[in-house]
Amino acid sequence: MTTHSSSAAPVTRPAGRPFKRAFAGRVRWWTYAFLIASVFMSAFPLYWMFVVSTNDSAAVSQTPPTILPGGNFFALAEQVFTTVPFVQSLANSFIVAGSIAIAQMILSTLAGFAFAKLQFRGRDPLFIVVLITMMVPTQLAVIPLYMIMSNLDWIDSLQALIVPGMASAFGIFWMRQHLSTVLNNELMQAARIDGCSTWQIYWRIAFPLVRSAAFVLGLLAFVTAWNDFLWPLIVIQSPENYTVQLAIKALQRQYFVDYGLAMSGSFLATIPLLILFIFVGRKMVAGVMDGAFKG
Amino acid sequence: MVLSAPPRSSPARQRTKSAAPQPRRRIKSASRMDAFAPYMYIAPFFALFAVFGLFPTVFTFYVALFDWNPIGGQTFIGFENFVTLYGDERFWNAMRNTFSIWILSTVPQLLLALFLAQLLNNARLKFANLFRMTMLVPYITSVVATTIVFASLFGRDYGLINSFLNLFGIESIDFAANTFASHIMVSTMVLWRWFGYNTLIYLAALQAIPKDVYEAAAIDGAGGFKQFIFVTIPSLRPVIIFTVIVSTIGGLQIFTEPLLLSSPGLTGGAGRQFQTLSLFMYEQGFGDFKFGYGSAVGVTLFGLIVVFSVINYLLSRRITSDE
Amino acid sequence: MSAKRIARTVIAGGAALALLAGCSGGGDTDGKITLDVWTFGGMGLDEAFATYQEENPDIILKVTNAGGSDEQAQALTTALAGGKGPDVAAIEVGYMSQFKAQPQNFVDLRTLGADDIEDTYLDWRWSQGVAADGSVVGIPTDVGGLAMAYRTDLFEAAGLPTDRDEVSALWPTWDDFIDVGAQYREATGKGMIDNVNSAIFNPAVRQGDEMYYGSSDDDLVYDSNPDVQEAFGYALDAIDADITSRTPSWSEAWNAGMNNGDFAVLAAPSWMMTYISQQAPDTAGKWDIAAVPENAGNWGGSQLTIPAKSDHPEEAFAFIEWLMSPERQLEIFQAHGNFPSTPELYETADIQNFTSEFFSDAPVGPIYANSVKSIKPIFEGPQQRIIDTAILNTLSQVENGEEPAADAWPNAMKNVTTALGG
Repeated sequence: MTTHSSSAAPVTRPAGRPFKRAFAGRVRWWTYAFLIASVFMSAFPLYWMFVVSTNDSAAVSQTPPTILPGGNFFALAEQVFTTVPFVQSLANSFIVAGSIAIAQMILSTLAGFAFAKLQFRGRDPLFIVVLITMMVPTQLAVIPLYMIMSNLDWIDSLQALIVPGMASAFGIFWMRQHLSTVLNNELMQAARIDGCSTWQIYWRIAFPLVRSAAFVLGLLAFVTAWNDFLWPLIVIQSPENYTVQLAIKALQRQYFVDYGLAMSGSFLATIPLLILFIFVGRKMVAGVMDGAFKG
Repeated sequence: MVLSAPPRSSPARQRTKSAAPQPRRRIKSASRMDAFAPYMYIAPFFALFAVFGLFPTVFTFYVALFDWNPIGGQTFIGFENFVTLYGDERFWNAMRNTFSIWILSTVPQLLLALFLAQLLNNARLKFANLFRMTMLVPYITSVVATTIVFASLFGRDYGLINSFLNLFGIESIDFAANTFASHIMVSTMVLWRWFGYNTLIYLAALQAIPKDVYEAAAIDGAGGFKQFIFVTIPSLRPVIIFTVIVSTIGGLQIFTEPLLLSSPGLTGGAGRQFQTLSLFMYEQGFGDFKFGYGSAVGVTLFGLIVVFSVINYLLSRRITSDE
Repeated sequence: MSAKRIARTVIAGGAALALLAGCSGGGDTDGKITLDVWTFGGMGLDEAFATYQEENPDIILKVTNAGGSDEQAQALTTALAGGKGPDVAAIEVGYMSQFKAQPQNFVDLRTLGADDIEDTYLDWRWSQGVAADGSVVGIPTDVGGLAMAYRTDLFEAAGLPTDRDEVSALWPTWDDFIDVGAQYREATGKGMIDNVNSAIFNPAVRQGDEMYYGSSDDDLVYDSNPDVQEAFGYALDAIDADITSRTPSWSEAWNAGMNNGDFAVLAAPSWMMTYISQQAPDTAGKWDIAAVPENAGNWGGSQLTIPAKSDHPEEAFAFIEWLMSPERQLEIFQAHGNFPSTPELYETADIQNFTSEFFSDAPVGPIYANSVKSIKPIFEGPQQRIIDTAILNTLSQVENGEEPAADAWPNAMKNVTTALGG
């Protein structure tokens, strides 16, 4: 991630629309065949989750197993809600992922703005520190991070999940790249001549320009936080503070293992993100593709 | 880097928010604000980062020098943890597994992504957005859910994959027990999660290649395959390096999949056949109550990633100068 | 402003930004006392908790089920490491030695009157909760007395007897057990047992006087104790005779296998009866219970501990005393199959006449009572679980054909040495 600035060709096309100069040849049938196969590959595990969660376990563990949905879905879904505090964990996940996404958008645009457009002592060394952080394996910090949380008396609380996730080196890098591209020096100069303070430049000019990039960053942060597993596993203990991932895990590892139940929980836990994705998926696709140039 | 404040002569700049009472002080504070302003912008990040990022990293180096029982005592033992570690067969086993799983997941994944990106890179393609969006679905599906599904698909007796193989007269494979097969299983999960993401990155890069480059190549008589080799691949080289590096950093840290497949227990299979370095670290720290030893694994893993990042840096510099 | 204060302030600001919610913490309200109780799945205590809550309105029970015993142990480790902990924590016996090696983390229950109730429990079960310095760290819950659950329909198909006494008589020793397995393989082409670890090594290794430790924490005998090597040998013989279906315990295939008859015999501590009947409800009446070879055996059970940080140790102890009293344990057994650790119940009609419909009306009460009475106390040291894991993993490797049987014992010993050294 650290290396790619050399080829940061500014991509100015509107998100999600094809290039004008894009390649446009004849589309052969096997192109569709391969693409449909890849769709199948992407969607099948989700489908399988659904199949298992709608059948009783006997149907799935026969040979050959059934590959069609059954009628057991609501019974299992109800069991999911009664076995673990599933609604509460959904709410917790939304609080945690949402807070992290918002905080990252704010902190990263602020710092990204400073790194991209302001002159100050120690700017470059500090930015290199940010870059190095991106290489630190997250598991490395788990043991001492646990001790910090314990000293703050934050063990088994949602802030133990939220606060460490708010500062993202990737976020700063991402926003800095976007701000460098969209906010050119002429614009800065013009604003200054108009009497804008640095803060006003940031708030009135820079931020609106990168709002959509910040939104994509927020989405990526949301998905990452939603799916985080190791840190919640270590720092959360009470079921009322479970995130969705911990709830699924708890379903799987009750002593009385029921895989239909675990699958049903997994499926139910994926639905909220799928719904979110239907609304913002295009934006996210555009964001990931944009990141290829800026990241 | 310029250390002094940049020449900003306009005195009219005022921060609307700072409402100091005296005009003299106000000017002074305004210019001071300007010198300090950049730090105010980065302060929130660095404050959080110092407490929750930098400190834990440094502290791990410290803990690694101790015999440290999380619920018992701590004894300083210098570098003994590292000496033991580098003679520990389980460590080298975890290292081999990590690299094997990394290669098995990265290479096919990037080739597949390149291929799919090539297919998607066509303005006349119908349902292009649908294809692109579906490919990101694995990325938003949680690892925990994914692992449960794949563990079931790869099951020895009742797994769908073995049922499928049986159709062709191939005997069932015990994916969890066999070393190589278990690496395939873990790699498949990683591949599945990230191939769509990388496809989109490659697609963006492909779209940035001007069409006339291809046209020129076509005039020179290059067919589709030759165009791919001589035009597409060279243009994509920086992006490919970028994806390789990102997959490397991610691949060296693979944790959740083997952890969940491992349960009950933290050994990554009875023969530690799919225990990665981060799972080994977790086992030592949290399973066997050896925080110091676990930290030594963590420090080593950090070192590995730094080495790979330096190699990455040198490679990418060479590529930049090539251009 | 010190760096720490700055950090605190920033963190507080950040925390406010993050829309705090869902903070935990069992605050005592209205003079009521909240007891934080951590259990794990399958302990069968839910009804007892409800009864206690009803009878003690001044105490609020806050019960947390961490999932499996592994998760529970990791949660407790992190809590204790962070200087926290609930008022009552269940610890599975497999983890007990690891925790009681650091007794300072727990209230010594002798200070709360544990000595007075010691005689109520099986002596070997009680000793599993006693630390090396003599302090009592935990009170025993149920006992996992062992028997063999077997499928009568599959035995019949294999031409083996189906009557429980005849089946018990088939395998007075482990060698006989393996012979029966070989006959079963010949008749059906299938493995008789689920896996060698659960069905053979686990029960066999606990039938001696010593296991991996002699009589103290420093007295490691895992490599010299002939009982360990003998049990290991039985497991290897079983693999050699091909009597295993190689189905790991707790796996999806295991659950399915109970239903589908992939194996006909599995080691069944009393609490397993519930597990089988829930996983394979359609097989009701096709199971029966026979004795385990050499008769004695234990799998599972927990101790209830009071972490040192508890604010209400007296109330917690009173609760434990009530919960694990013979009357309560009998109720738990009748509802969930977790066998009582209090021998005074064993000769009562409640146990002696207890049968299980699911298991062909087998008199499971007396069968399990016999199995737990003959167990001798075994000293377990702090690395017990680590040694056990290394040995069991080696056997699994051989069972799966990943390692040659010839090198199994030296490999196991080498793996233990590595695990202890790291």
